[in-house]
Amino acid sequence: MNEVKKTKKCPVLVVDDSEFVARLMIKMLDESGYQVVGHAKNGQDALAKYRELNPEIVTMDIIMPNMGGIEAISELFKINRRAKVLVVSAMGHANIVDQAMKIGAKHYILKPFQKDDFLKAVDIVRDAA
Amino acid sequence: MKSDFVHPFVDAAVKVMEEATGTKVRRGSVALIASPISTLGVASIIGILGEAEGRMVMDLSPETACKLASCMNGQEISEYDELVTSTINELANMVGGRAVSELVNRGHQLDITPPTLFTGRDMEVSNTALETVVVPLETDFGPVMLNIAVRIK
Repeated sequence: MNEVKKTKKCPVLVVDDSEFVARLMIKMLDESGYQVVGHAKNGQDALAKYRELNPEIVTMDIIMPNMGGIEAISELFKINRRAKVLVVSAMGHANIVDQAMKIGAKHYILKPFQKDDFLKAVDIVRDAA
Repeated sequence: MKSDFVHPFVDAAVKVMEEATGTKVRRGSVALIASPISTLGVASIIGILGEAEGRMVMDLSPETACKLASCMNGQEISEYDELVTSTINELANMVGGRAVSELVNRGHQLDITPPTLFTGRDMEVSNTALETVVVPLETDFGPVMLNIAVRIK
């Protein structure tokens, strides 16, 4: 079932202010059959690109300039209450994880991550109801 | 400076660099020094906010930065460029994020700012109000100095 879904080129928006992390995630997603439709470097940029590109999955950093990930997730759910968000952050304390999940993120993965763990997290978000 | 606030940064730096590069990192002797701090040429600075304030600086030479970035990106990078800047900033962000997360989990109210990177020869970081703990980290790519200056408000 998962393989069938992957071949459908599930569209992903990558949100991270780090060029290094974004490149890494885009490469991993491309290699595993996901279709990266865009890259945003902050929360404001993410909202604009979400409206424009209508991705199925959003990977969201937390600490970013202009608008951080927590605020961006809240705003994103105003656009689409069924948005699928994977938080990918260096901040892993219970308060921020709880906050992200409470406002609607489907899953959370801590940086630095291994390829298999990252793709497993993306699959979980893709398959979430 | 309370050592409770310093150890999580040192532990995070060792663990994050080991996880991100797949190599061993060895920590040297801790030193307490007064401002200003001379840098090795590349300094990524993370601000610490909340019940304590200060900064963490990850300081290394351009050569070490290129070698670290080459390893973390899985490609040879021989000249200092934007990708090296981004990689070193993210490394500092991951160290700061993990350390502050550990402190928050222990009950402290803290946050960090996004990293800012400065490059240049004979550069100094000054803050006369704060003493700085310097921890040398020996990596396979060269020395990385971790500078931590935190004051309880």
